[in-house]
Amino acid sequence: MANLLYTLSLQRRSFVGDFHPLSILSVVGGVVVIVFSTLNTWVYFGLLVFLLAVMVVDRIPLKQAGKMVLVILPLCFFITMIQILAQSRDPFYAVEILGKTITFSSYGLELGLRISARVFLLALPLSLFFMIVSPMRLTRALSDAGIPFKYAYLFTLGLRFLPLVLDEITTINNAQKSRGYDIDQSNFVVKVIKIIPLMIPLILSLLKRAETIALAMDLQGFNAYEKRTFYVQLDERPIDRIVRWSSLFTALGFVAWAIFIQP
Amino acid sequence: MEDKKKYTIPLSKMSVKAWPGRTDTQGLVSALMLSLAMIGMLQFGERLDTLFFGGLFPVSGRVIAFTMVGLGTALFGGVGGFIISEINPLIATATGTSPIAPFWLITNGIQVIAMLISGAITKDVISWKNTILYAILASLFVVLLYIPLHVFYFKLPWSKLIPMYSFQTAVSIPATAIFVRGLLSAVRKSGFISE
Repeated sequence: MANLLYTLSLQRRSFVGDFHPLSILSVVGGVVVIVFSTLNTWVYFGLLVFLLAVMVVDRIPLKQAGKMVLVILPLCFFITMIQILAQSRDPFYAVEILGKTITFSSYGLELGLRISARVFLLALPLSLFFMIVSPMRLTRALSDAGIPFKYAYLFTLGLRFLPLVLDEITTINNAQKSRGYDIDQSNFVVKVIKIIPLMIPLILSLLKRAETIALAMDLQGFNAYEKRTFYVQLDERPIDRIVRWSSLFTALGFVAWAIFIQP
Repeated sequence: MEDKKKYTIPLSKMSVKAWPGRTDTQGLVSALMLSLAMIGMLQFGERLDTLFFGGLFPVSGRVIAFTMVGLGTALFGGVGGFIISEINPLIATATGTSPIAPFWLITNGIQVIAMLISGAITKDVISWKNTILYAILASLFVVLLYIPLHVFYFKLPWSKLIPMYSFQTAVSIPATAIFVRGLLSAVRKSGFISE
């Protein structure tokens, strides 16, 4: 997934992706603030339509949203169950277990579903941000914002090396299997304990590999000069300023509405 | 016989201070690699957490995160620790692996502070005293951060969740202390520690 994300974001140019990364980040921040400020169904519906429209305009496959639903499904199930059992308002069913009455609340069910929508609406824009914004453009934007390049570049570097590390885990796992230590045959609980013999060789081999990578980077002048030049150019257009200010005012407006007007 | 030498943060270059620790290219890349190793390891742990509680009360994921962040902070100092703790949630958010990944930016970050505090108190990182103190501090800090998440984000009645917090803490303290101590010993024996 990380590999795909990285390759896609390097290659594609899009309407939304051409905005300054910090402008897109301000929109994401605005959405997060709005989602946190209310549990109103209509507001959530509006945000969903907005995010889906962004996906359509930017030609991001809608199945990505479907994948997101699958990821959050277990979490939403547990949240809803806890709300149904923990809330006492509007009980719709009661059962006696070991002398203790357990009630099922319809208010809890409704609240659980609303919070599930909140979880989805918080996860979706954050994922969309990384799908839309190229890691190199993000690095440049962070560097322009004053973050030293050697730190701003780490996320891009992480995305680039993640597939390599996952391959390393598979290799170590196969090596351990050939010695008769097969964690894939274990159940879920035992598997967590059994990853320790994978951890030590993985960490040691990655630390050794880091020495080589760091040396190669230093030899190519990484962080050699205080002020560096960039191949990636970022243009801050007037519309970027409009987007940032609109995000800020919309978010503040919703917070004020949630505090003072919302019933 | 056990070496009586005192080991201080950052273990990979003990001549520098714990904060900021190592900020040279090798320190940064090594910290990044540990962060990626943490992502790989979490694949195993998160499945179990998702199966039991939908990821709402992570246990195995928490132990792995405590272990890797603690190890990284001990090896590379504060900045290295923050790299390990912050790259993981960013990549988890980007790849959409967990809906609560952005919150890990805070919960992972606090573990770095826990290791820096325990290292400063005990003044010997590769010791049971340090790893136990780190595990206790990290567990305490993270539970204190999870309560607002559960109350404001998920609207959960936190007072009814105390047994869950207790269970998480009861598992994470001994497991983290043992794993961090074991990994630090392995790293020391492999020669990644220097004056």
